[in-house]
Order: sequence, then structure tokens, then C-alpha cells
Amino acid sequence: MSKYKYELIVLLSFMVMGGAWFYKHQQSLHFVSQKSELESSIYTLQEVIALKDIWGTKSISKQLDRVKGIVPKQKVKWSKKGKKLTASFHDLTPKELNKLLSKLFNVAVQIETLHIKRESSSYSMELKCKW
Amino acid sequence: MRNNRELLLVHTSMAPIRSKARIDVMLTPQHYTLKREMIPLKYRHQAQKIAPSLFDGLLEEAEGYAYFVYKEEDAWVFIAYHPETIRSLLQSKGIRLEQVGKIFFAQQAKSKLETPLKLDEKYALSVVESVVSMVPLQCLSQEEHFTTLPKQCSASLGVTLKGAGGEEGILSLPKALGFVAIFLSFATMFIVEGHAYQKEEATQAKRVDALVETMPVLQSKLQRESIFKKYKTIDTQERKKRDSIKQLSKLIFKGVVLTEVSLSPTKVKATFVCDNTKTLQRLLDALKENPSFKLLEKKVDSVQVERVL
Repeated sequence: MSKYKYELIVLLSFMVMGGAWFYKHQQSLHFVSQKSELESSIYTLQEVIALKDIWGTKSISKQLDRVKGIVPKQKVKWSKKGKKLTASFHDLTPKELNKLLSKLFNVAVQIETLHIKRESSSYSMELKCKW
Repeated sequence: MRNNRELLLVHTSMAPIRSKARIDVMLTPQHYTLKREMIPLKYRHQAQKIAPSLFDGLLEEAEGYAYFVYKEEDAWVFIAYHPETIRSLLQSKGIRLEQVGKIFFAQQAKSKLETPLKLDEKYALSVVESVVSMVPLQCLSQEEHFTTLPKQCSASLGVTLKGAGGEEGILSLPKALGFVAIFLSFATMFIVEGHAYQKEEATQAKRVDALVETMPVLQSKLQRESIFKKYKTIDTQERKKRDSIKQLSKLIFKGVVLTEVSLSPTKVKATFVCDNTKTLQRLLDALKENPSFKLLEKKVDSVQVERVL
């Protein structure tokens, strides 16, 4: 065997290289398979955190009270129970309606029903929402 | 690798051997020419270069000789040998070249031959003036004790004949080292690359952990996906509802009045009244450009549109 000792050493180093390549290949395969899963987890987590910040915020009730204050009290019927709101507005001018809608849509509530009707020159609006 | 080949002293008068075991051979001074010189050289390869010139005029045939050089105490030992003659000698003694590992010279066993070694009935090997020589037994005293050849040669240097078992393989040392260097460099690169993949994966996993830490309820993948689905549905639907109202507001222009809007979780309905047919046509054209709403009902002065959420 000593005749081929150099060949043996070369073969051994080749096998080390083969082993290293196999290690790299395995790590790369594992990385590729894990990458999409990890990236999906990161995306989901970031989305959940962002969505929860929007739709799960605790200040919705206060924000709705501010919407109520946009129109005079006599034009509003307001009934807030827990995390549900039933409200009706009448005799709204187009300007008041616009302002009311734009403010309402900036609050992260889930609108269940919204009914707007023109009555001669004014508008009435009925709203049911939850959060 | 440890050499465990047996050492055999080969000389002219020896009987042929029958063993087929692998052996190292030690040649007696009959088969080489030796010069011991005090030359101020540092390296063996330098001594090897000047070896042929030292034997000028000393050798019977100038061609076909090979030279072996090594340092012995303060002096350089130069040995000239004729590979073809040695090959013939070995064959004549029943030794196949394939079974021969290294070939040593008796001079290399000088320290062991301070006590003579009996070769045959006429000669012994002994050291004369620092040179291992063939000495007639008659020249030695009657009470002389003889030594025996060690089973293995302790010298590290020796020569190898072409075709012998101890000959080098396909690759020379520099070539082998070159290949080893290349393969090990690639191996290092692969390991570094593999490690980088591992590190990157760990970094991503750490990011996930850091995000989960901000909201421990999201630890479980199932729970995470369920919460995501819940909020994503709300987000999509609510954005659609708000967008629908925004789209409806774009359809209001001079001569068009929005008379009714009804929004439920599944659809949005709206009714527009126009002051003349021209305005109505304009409204219908605008509706065509807005494919999210479809025309539900068309009257002389009004239209009803719907969008499914």
C-alpha cells in the first residue's frame, strides 16, 4: 500500500472535499425548504401585527364618540352596546353627510349595514357597526 | 507508514532465496562505489547535483549509473550504483523486483557494523576508516565475535529501482500535494458556504422568534394563521365597502343626485337620479368605465347600480 500512499492521501482529501460538498448541499437544500416557510411566517406575523393594530385597536369607542359630535345632537340617535353601535341620523345636509362618512370610514369598525336616503333636500342615514 | 519489511543483506556469494515476502535489500560494497567527502554543502539536493562529477574516471562504464547521497556525521557520503547490475543481481538471487521495497547500502549500517558481520567463509563486513568494507576473515583476529544484521533497517533514506515494490505510485509528491491543496481549498469553500446557509437560516428563525415575542399568542402556527385569516377577511371586506362608497361619490357630478345607498355585508346598491337624458347617458358612460358596479335597473331619469362584495 505504501507504493500508493500519495494516491491514498489525494483520495482522502478528495473524500473530504466530497463530504464538504455534501454538507453544503444538505445545508442549501434545508435552507431552501426552510426559507419559504420562514419567510411566510415572517410575512404572516408582520401582517397579523399590522392588521391587529388596525382592526383590534382599543380606542375605537372613543373615535366613534368623536364621529357622533360632528352633527348636532338633535339629528342623532345613538345606541352603543358593548362593541356594537346602532345609530341613525336625519336632516343631514350634503356637507354633513360627506364629513360624517369620511370620518366614519377612517374608524376601523366593521360596517354591518349602512342605509342612506335622500328626503327632499336632506339626507337620512342609518348605521349598524361592530368592532 | 511504518515499514515492517524484513532486511536482507545481498552479496555475490549468497545462496538464492525462495521467500516471496516483501523485503528491503541491503547491498554489500561489492555492488556500489563510495566516496566520503567533507564538502561544505548544506542541502542534500546540492550534494546530489555534484555526485556524478565526483566519480569521474572512477567508474568502469560512465553511463547507466545512479547516485545516492546522504550526510554521515560531518561528511557527505556519495554512492554510485548501477541499477541494471543490481536488478540482475537480485534476479540471480531469486528476488523478484516486485517484492523489493527499498534498497539500502551497507555503509548506512555503519554504526551496527563496528563489530564485523560474517558474510561467508572468506569475508566479513567491517568498518575500515569510517567506510564499511569487505574484509577477509583472515585479517580479523581468531577471537573476533560477529554481529548479525538487524531485522529492519533504521535508515530513512534508500533507493528504489524502477519496477520495484517500493517504487512511487502514479503521483509524485509535488503533484499529490497540488491535488490535496486544490481539494482541501474546495472543501473549505464548501464548508464556509454550508455554514453561511446555516447562519442565514438561524438569522431568519431569530427574526420569527423576535416577532413572536412581541405577541406570544402567535407562538402557535395554527393560531397565527387563524388570527391572520380572521383579520385579513375583515380587512378585505371593509376596504371593499369603503372603496364602494368612494367609487359611488365619483359618479356624482352636475345634474346627478344620489338618492339612495344601501350597504350590506354582501352588496352595495345605489340609486342615482339625473335631470335629463344627456346627463343620464353621461352617467351610463361613467358606469361603463367602472366595471366594479353593474347596472341593475335603468329608468327614464334614474339608474340603480349594484356591486357584489
